[in-house]
Amino acid sequence: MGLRFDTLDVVEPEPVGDFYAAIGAGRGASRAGFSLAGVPAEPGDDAYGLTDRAMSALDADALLIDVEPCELAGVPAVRTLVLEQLGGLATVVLEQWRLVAAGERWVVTATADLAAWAQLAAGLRAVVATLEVEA
Amino acid sequence: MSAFNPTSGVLTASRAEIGALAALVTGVGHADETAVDAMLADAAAGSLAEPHPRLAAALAPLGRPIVGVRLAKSGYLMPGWVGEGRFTLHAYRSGDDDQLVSMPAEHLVHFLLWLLQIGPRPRDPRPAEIAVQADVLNRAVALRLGDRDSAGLLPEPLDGAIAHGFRDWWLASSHWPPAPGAPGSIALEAIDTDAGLWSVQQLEDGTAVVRPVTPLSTMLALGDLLPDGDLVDQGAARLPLDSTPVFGGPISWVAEILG
Repeated sequence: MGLRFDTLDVVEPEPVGDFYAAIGAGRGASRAGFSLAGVPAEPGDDAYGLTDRAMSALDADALLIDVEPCELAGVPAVRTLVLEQLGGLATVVLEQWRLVAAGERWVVTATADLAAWAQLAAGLRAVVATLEVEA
Repeated sequence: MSAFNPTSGVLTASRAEIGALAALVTGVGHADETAVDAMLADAAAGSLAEPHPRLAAALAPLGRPIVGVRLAKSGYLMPGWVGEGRFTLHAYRSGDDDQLVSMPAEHLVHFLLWLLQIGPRPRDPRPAEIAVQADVLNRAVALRLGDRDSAGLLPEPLDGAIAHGFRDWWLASSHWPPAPGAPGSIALEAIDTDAGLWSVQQLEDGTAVVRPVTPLSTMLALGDLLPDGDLVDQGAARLPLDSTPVFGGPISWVAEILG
């Protein structure tokens, strides 16, 4: 099983480069970023089921703003957008894509402070769109 | 009967009592200080001179507002204030149990999204924009707010969306002392239906342009109610008195149409 995505020079493993310059050092209460998590899938898993389970477990401070079926890495996926209030510290946007590919459940997450979201979302989505998963 | 929650800082009282408190603290209007003090004492919230610390925090934006917020929802206008890093809203309920609620200013958008129940909506294709007579649109909205039939007043698919899938109408605006050359206000008007959210742009010629909007774009637009620092006159001590909201009440055109 292989996994590949292109950072497009938008995100970096360390907080340097254009992305860091875009968000500005020290601005915002949380660090904007991108993450990918995979665990072995179980029989019957699909993007809709994964999303339903995740959204039914949202905490009280989270608001589900949007849900959209889509395609990612060549398979059906579901995109969700959740606004999370982190205590009194920050309001953070979590845009996530859930999919099942190559025998794995995948959750792709792009996140940033709400105040920075309009500025950063397009770049983060462009990185997500490059995801490729091979068995 | 007033009440105060010392944990949340929420003051519950009649609309007139909270209005009188707001008038006194903002400095905009006159009110009976003795009656307000009696209400605060009854709620164990201190007094005008020495409010409970949680109430003092809630009143801080009223005493030195930088942004005035007006939130119209379900046919009623509610006043709100941003200042000293906090947002406070006179939340209209039944009139006997209105509430003064306060939170860190950065929670404003999260709170409004919750209050306005912004969430996933269908993505069926809709026209990019529909131009209608504003007074006809207002009539349809008012009728639905009064749970009356509005079918046939507007072009499709807007007519069906409002007549058969109306959820709510709301208008949120904020005003601030602008930096030189910067705008000093923003207003967002929307109609929420089962078919999706629609923004409303009121033109000076009496036309209203209605456009489909997504929950995401609505979230981002609500974020603009809290202006960036470079839009605000940093030398201004506070929002001018004549721009400071104090009282809310029924939306006049809704009340007129519903008789």
